[in-house]
Formats: sequence, structure tokens, C-alpha cells
Amino acid sequence: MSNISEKILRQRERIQKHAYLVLCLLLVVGMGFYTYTKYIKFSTALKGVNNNKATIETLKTSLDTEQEVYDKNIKAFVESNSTIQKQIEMVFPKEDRYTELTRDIDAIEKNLGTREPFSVSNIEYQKPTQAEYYSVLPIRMNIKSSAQNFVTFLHMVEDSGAMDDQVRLMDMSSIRLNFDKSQAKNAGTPQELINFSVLINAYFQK
Amino acid sequence: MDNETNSNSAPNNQEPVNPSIGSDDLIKNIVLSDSLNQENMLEVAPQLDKSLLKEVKYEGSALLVMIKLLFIILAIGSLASFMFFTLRLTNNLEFINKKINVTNVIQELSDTNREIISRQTDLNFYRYLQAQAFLTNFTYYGDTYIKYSNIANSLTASSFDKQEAVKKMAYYRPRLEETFIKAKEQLAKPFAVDLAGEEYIDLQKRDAKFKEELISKLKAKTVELEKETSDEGKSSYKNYLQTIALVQNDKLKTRIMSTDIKALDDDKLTVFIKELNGLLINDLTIIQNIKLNRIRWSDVIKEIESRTIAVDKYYNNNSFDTYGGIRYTNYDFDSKTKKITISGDTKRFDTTNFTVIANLIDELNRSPIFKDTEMRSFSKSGSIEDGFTAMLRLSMTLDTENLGKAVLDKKTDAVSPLLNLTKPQAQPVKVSEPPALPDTENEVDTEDNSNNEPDSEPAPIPVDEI
Repeated sequence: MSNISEKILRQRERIQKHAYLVLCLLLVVGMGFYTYTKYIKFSTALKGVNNNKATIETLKTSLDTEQEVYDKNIKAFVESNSTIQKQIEMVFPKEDRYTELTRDIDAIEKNLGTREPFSVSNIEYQKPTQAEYYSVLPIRMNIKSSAQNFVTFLHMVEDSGAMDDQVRLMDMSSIRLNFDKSQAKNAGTPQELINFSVLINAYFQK
Repeated sequence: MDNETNSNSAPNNQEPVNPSIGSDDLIKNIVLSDSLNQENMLEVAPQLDKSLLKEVKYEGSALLVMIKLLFIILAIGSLASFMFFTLRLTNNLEFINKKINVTNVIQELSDTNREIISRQTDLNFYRYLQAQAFLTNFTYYGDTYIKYSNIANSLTASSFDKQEAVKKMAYYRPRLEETFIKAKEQLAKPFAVDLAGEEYIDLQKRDAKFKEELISKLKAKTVELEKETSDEGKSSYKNYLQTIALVQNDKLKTRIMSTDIKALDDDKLTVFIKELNGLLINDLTIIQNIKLNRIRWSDVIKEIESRTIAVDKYYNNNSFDTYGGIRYTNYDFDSKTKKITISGDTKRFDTTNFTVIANLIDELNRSPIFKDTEMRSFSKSGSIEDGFTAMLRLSMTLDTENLGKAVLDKKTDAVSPLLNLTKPQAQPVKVSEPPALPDTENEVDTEDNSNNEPDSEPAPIPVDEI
């Protein structure tokens, strides 16, 4: 009786040992894997945090310096930008400003006409059109001019839109030239006059 | 109990004895029947010695205890590990984190990453605004530089104008270099910094994140200024929009970073400014791009004249009536279609008018800036004494791509007096010689040439301080 019970108990004990050993093994493997992977993640993150903290300190210093420089220059930047915008307004206005343009053409005529013949007999502003980044005001003009003034006028249009001379931005869309000899003969001057009809595009902001 | 008694007192009952009745019940029944003076069926029940059973108790193994102990230790360790990593790597037990004041490292990593992005974005914000300001100044100076470069390279500008233009180019060049280098310095500074975390291992994604943040910050500024009506507000609004375009323009940044502006000669610098204007979008570059697409008709006229001189040695000497030759009476230029139509006359005393026209067609077709020159119908009238006159009506197409190149290649100092055809001149010039330089005294000088410095220029950015 005693032997049987003891055997049963020993058997039970052996089973328990095995069971506990298996459980221990499972715990070691399972939690070992879990702990290892989590530790890798944790240590990487911790290292990242430490690196980030160092980076933040560096950035703080850089940002302070950069902000200081920017604040010091901001006034100059704004002034510069404002000056440029004003000059842009002169050559590339926000509206078509055809009245201003008319006065400009008159001034050009007066200026060129002082030395050699140059007269604008007709100005016709056509309907503005729009492109992707700008608007265009087409102007048809009939001009009678000396050859030299014609070249000067061509150059003025070709070089227009520069910031330093503030002439309205224009280009020559088409030119039709006619040489008028009779006029010059009648006037008693040896100079040949050119009649030209031009289609000029004056640009303005969209 | 009565039932049990009844069952015992009725032995004749045919029902079988219930086997489930235990020995204790049986003994009780016997004792009960004895107490009731009935006849005993059994002797007094023997007493069991239960102490024998107590001796069987097994003491147990120490090993099992140790294994159990090990299991418990492992279980506690596992629980501790689980708790530790759950607390430090997740927010699942946030209330405990707060209570014991332990931070979640992943959260901390994310927070520090966010802080880095925010600070770097602030840095980028200031840098790009400065770069934009310098580039605006660069395009401003570039605008004037290109203007003078065009004059210096023009086929029709006077020598004086060209010399002045060269001087002004020299004046603007250091300013261009200075603003460009300052812009380059700003763009060369690191745009992104290292961030910890799996999502930032891909550097392109990381850089994209910084770019996205910077654009968001700039856009937020534009939203603030969108309804501004003051000039300063509008200007700032535009400036932020242009800065956004700069941030998004990788091609422009690459071009800037790869260019050593000091190594560029004047022509290359002009080309570079034009290239940059094509990549940048601001009011100045819009203006520049319009200018780039303009046709310098004065140069086209000059080219026609040069080609005509190659055919007619008396051209441009006002000797048409005396020696014959070519005379133009009408030009028609169209920028849209790039079509040029020229009308005029040819006069010969030897009847070879058609040959002159054919030579002129071939000569114009040899020009790099003209193509498809043609005249399909020939007719002439006149006599040997008075000379034969043939009508001229040429049509051709302008090759604008070659126009700029041809102008740069020639760089001649000759100035066209523009078709001075009808003024007779005693001495004819030789074929292929360029016409004499015009008298520049009569030129209307529309520029202030007294000083090389421009009349007005933007308030200079204090580049030395940066």
C-alpha cells in the first residue's frame, strides 16, 4: 500500500517537474525573446532620444544666431523688396494704365522730335489679352520718322522694361515700314522719312 | 428513520437490498436494532487503525521545490520585463507612467523628433527668406546687366553706347556675384538633420518631411497676409509665395549650387542669368522672360542689310538711280508668325535683274536667322537706256533660336543707318564691305551716360553682415 502511494506520488512529482521545467523553458524562451526585442527597441529609442536632445541643443544655438541675423536684416530686406516692387510697378504695372502710357509716348515723341523728325499721328489701344503670368495691352501706332529716329525708337522698345530707366515693358509685335520720299522733298530736307505702322504690346501684371 | 425500521422489520419484502447502502448505515441499523431489543445480527464493529494510512505521506522532492521557485522567479521576471517595456515603450499604462513619473521613450523620441523638425523648419524659414531676398536682388541686378549686355552685343548700337554698356556691366557684375554667393550660402546650409526613428531612415522621406513642414509654415504666413491691403503686406504676401516656389524648385537649387559665378565670363554670365530667370518665378523673372522672347528687330534689319550688301555692292549708298541695285520700299515684320515680307525694286542696266533677285534669295537663305526665303514670280520692265526695273517681293521666316546666337557671334561695331537707299552717293562701296558707321552725333541719347552708376537701385541688402 505504502509503495503504491509513494510510487504514485513520485510519478506525480516527476510529471510536475517536467511540467514546471517546460513552463520555465517556455518562459525563458518566450520572455527572453520578448525582452531581447524590446530591449533592442528600447535601447535604440533611448539612444535616439539622447542624440535628439544633443541635436536640439545645437539647433537652439543655430536658430538663435540665424534669428538674430535675420532680425537685424529684416528692415533692409523689406526696404529692398519695397524699392524693387515700386520699380516693377513702373515698368510692369498692376493695371494697363494706358493714360500714363499715352503721356510716356508723348514724352518720347517730344524727346526724339527735337533733333530729327518724329511724329506719332495715331495711337489706338486695343482690348487687353491675358497670358499665363501677365496681361498684354496691344497698341497700334502710326509714326512718321527719320531713319535714325526710327532706329532709336526701335531700340527704346527693344530695351524697355529695364529697372534702371523705368520705361514701360513693351515689345514690337509687328512693324510695317514705308519709305516716303515725297514728304522729304516737299519739306526741302535731304532726309528721307519713314512711315511706319507698329503694333506694340505693353505688358502689365495679371 | 421510520422507513429504515420498516424496511428491516419486513424481511419478506421482495425488494432487493439497496447496494448503495454503506457499511456505516448498516452498523447504525444494527446498533439501532439492538437498542430496540431486537436480535443482534453482527458483533460489535471492529475499530479501524487509521494511523497506518498516515505513514504513507510522502515528504516531496527538493528539486521540485527549486524548479517551482525558479518558475516563480522567471514568472516574476517576465512580468517585470513586460511591465517595464510596456511602461517605457507604449502608452497602454499611461496612468501608471504618470503616477510613478516614468516617461515613455517612444513618446519622448517622437516629441524630440517633432521639436527638431520644428526648430530646423524655423531655421530653414529664415534661411530661405534670406535666400529669396538675395535672389530677388540678383534678378534685379541681372535685369539691368542683361539690358547692357544686349546693348554691348547689339549689331546696331553705337560704339559709344556699347562702351557705356560695357562699363555698366562691369559696375553690376560684383553686385550680381555678391548677391548670388550670399543666396548660395543660404541654400548650402543643411536643410535637414538626422532624426531617430524607423520612418526617417529613408533620407528622401526625411527631407520631404522637412520640405513639407517649411512649405506649411510659409503657407500659414500667406494665409495671415492674404487679405492685407497695405503695400507692405501685399509685398510680404508675394514674397512668401515666391519663397514657397523657391523651396519647391529643386532644379533651381541644384543649378545654383553647381555654379561658380566668378568663373563665368560676361557672355556666360548673361546666359546664366537668363537660365536662372527661366527657373525662378517672380515679377522680375516674368519681366525677364517677356524680354527674352522679344525680337530685336533692329538686329534683323541689320542682318537683311548685310546680306543685301553681299549681293549689291552699291546698296545703302543711295546710288540706286545712278548704278542700279536693290532698293527696299516696304518691310513687314510679324512677331507672332515670325514672317517677314520685304518689298522693293531692283534696277539693272544689263537686264540681269532676275539674277540679282535670285542671288539675294540665296544669300538670305544662307543667313542663320532666316529660312524659307522665296519669291516665285519675276517680272521686269524698262529699257537699256533707262535701265530695267524688276519688282521685288520676298517672304521669309525668322529663326529666332539662331537670332541671339548670331548676334553674339558677330559682335560687330557696325551701326545700321537703316536703309538709306535713295540718297545717291558718288563713290560706290565694294561688295561685302560693311556700311560706314553712322554719325553718332545725331543720335538721340536716351540714357544718362554721364555716370556709370544706375540712377536708382534697390536699397542694398547688408550682405556683409550675413
